[in-house]
Amino acid sequence: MQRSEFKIVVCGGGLAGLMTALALRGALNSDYQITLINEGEDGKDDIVYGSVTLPTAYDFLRGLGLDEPFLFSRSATSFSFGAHYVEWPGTETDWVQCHHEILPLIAGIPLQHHLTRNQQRLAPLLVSGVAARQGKFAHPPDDPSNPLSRAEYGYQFSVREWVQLLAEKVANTNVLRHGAEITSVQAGDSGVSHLDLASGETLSADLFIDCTGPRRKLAGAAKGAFSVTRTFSMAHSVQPTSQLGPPCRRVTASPNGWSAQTYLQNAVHTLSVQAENELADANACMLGSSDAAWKGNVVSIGAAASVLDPLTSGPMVMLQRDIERLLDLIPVTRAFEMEQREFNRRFKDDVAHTNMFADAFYLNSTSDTPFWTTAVEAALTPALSRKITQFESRGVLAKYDLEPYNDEDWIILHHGLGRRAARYDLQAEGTAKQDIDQQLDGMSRAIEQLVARMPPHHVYVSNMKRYFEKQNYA
Amino acid sequence: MSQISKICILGGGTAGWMTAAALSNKFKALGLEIQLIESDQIGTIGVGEATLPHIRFFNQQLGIDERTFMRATEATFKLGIEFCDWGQRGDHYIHPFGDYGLPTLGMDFHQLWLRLHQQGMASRLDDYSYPIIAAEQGRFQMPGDDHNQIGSNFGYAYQFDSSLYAKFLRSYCEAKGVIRTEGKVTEASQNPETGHVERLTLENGQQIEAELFIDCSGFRGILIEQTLKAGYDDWSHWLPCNRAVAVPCEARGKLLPYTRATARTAGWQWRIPLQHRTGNGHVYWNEYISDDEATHQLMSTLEGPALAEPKQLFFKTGRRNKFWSQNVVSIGLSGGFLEPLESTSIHLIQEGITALIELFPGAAIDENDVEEYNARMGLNFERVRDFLLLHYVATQRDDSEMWRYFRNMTLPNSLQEKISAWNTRGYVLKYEFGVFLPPSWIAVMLGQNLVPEAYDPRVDTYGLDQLRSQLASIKQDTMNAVEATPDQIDFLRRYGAETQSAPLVASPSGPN
Repeated sequence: MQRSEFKIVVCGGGLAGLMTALALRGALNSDYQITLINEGEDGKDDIVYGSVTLPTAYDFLRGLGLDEPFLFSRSATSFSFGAHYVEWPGTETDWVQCHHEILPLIAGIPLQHHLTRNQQRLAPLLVSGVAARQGKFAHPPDDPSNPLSRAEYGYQFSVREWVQLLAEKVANTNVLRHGAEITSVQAGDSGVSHLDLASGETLSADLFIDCTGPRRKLAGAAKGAFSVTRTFSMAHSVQPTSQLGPPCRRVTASPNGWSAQTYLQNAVHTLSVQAENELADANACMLGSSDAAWKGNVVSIGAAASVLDPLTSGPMVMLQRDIERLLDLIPVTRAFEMEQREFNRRFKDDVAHTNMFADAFYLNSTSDTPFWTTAVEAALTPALSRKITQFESRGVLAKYDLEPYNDEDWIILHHGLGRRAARYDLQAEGTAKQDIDQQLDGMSRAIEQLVARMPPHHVYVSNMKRYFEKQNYA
Repeated sequence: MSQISKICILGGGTAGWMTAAALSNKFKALGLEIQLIESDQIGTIGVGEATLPHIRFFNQQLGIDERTFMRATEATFKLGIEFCDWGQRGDHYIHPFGDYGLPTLGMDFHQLWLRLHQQGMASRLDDYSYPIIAAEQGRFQMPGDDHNQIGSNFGYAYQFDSSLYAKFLRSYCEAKGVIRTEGKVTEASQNPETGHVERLTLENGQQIEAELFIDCSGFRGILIEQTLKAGYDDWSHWLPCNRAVAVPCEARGKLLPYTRATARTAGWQWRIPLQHRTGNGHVYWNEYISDDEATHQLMSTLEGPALAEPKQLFFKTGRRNKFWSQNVVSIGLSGGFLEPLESTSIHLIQEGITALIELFPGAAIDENDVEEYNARMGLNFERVRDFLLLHYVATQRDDSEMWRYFRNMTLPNSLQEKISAWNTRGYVLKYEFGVFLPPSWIAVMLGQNLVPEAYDPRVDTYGLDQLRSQLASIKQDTMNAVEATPDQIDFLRRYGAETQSAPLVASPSGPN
């Protein structure tokens, strides 16, 4: 590689900075020097990342050393089969937006067409959703004959706790650490030349990673533009509990916003979102994204690059994708125009696709309060319209390249919001209606019986932790 | 649910009969009436005698027995395509149907290889590809079930006589109730209000009505263009070859499980080995070579005596602006044409059929279905176009006007970025929807001498010795697996796919 060490300075000691530094250190050899500047963040500003992950976070977190024995014994992290949306505008029923493996074909035809034809509901056929509603959890087994094998899960977590765990992990690596405020950022045409720290030190680097969140300390100095799509206020509160709640977040709509309760081992965390200035002790939160997340020699990761709606796992999905994209494109020389262009191309797609999923939750609202009307307006993009139109027209799933949310996520969302396809695949007519009814009935009964035997989430977690302790895992 | 009950397919070439077969199979239970009009007087082009692995799934869906199909179409197995003289004269490489190496250390295999290659410690990337080595030696066997095992992590396609394939599908269709009508269309009547095609009138006065028409009439696009004027997006500035001359010849030498595409000064030449003969053709740009000279180049490089007079074809690369317009869906050459350099003609027919089945009209034509169909097919065509163009521009050749034309070309942005990302660091821009996956792009770029300047630095976290031994064992496993693979002809025999027909021989008086 290059003759001298390539210096990367990661700025920001919150969730994004710690994850990025750890990921870089794990992926690169000593040709790359990794430095982390911690400005004394403790994760309290990181509520923008929300409190849930998608199942796809599993491997990513393990790669950072956050495996389950560690997470569950060292923090109040719990499981998530999905999120329960209650009193949601535009739909009469509540639903669990659950995580589920590929839905089965029946007689070679996608399940949703049979549901349309037979006017059946999807919810009773989703094992993760049924279990979540009843507060039950168990790890999905490998055995495909067990209906639970089709469940997938993510985590409910507290950002502040994860920040502490990650800081510990970083301390065990040879990442160079500076604990001091960045007092000034010296930037020119080619990007940032160096940083001055409150400690009196000056740092230069080949590549700077801006993980300073909405403050965008480096990207701002490098004149990176950020486009705001929507503004709201956000508040976060913690209510200690003695018993762990269900393995799913509960999201409730309110006249001018929504609030989400996350059930951790020792507490319920509540995140409330309202139209701006409605919450007394709230943070103003500007949703939006950078026009180019990589500018000059500054790459923005996480909330410095995009602030996405915490209604879904979107912010965590985006953070993970930001880091994976950076790892795919770590410069191999000191010229990195190609890496920059490709990073920004993928970034743009990822923002659009991640937003599209959260936006879709708002579309059915007919409320005329500022919060809901702004949300609906922002949601109306041609790309999303195509998805909705195609599903409503005949249950077809219009797709884009490499979206973070899969077919099942979308089908579950459409059904949850009460969307039904006007037509179904004609091939379904080749099957007898009552045979399909019987088959669907069999599926939902098997799920019901299985869930009845599953342990409550809190019991499962305490047994699991006892097991970890016995095995000396953590 | 109510549904349309009558459809009419115009044209009985590969596209027409493939469409009829798939629709009659899928909708047989629904009482859909399918008519197909073809004229024995109008020849079929017989596009592409070589296919991509996806066709196996097409046949499987129809419930077609592989051995019966292969015997009926003089088919051979195909493990990839060999490209000769593309990067520079004298070069050759095989684009295989399968990944290189095995998933190793959680990294892309080619990145590991690039590092060793830079150190001079790797043999050519081909040596880690079972389908390439097997193809080079003329061997074939079925892939096993475990796709993480050398000797199983590949796909295969066929080389066959496409007119025999159409004939084979015709009997399949007729058994399923498809009504074939012989005749030429003289008039297409449209509904004055909706503009929908309602009825076709044949030369003998017979009238055929339908609610949905599939235009498989080839380049002419009788319904989609002549009647509905859907328009054509001309891609000649990117893919300027506009003529071809084709001729079969006697087979010579070992029966090879791959197609060959050899670059020429004003185009390229194909060689497709079937069981009973070898198919040949020269695709060229008439701006830089005369028809006579193109034909001469072809005839003078045949491996055996010609079995027929050379047949001339004319075309213009591009795509129909609307593949589906009103109640007419164009499938096959009527929808667009891309030169058969990567055997995509039949594949694009298959993509059209798959999309049509998923979006098949209910009681009436729904504009949403039309839009979705056109969006999907447009993307398919564009991505194939970029991949084809790659062959012409990833080259060091400048020995003729045509190659100099490509040198000076401004590429579509999507392709330019792909090449520059590869050259910089062996990075492959990925997409999800499109037929050619990263291994195909890697095969062509590396095969045409685009060697990346650097590799993914994550590879450096592993020791050189570790990488060397991992790659050495993959190479050894590949050689061993090929060693245990029979010659294609022996496999065909053992498998029961060998035809009973004798190899074709030219008549003593010359081709007739």
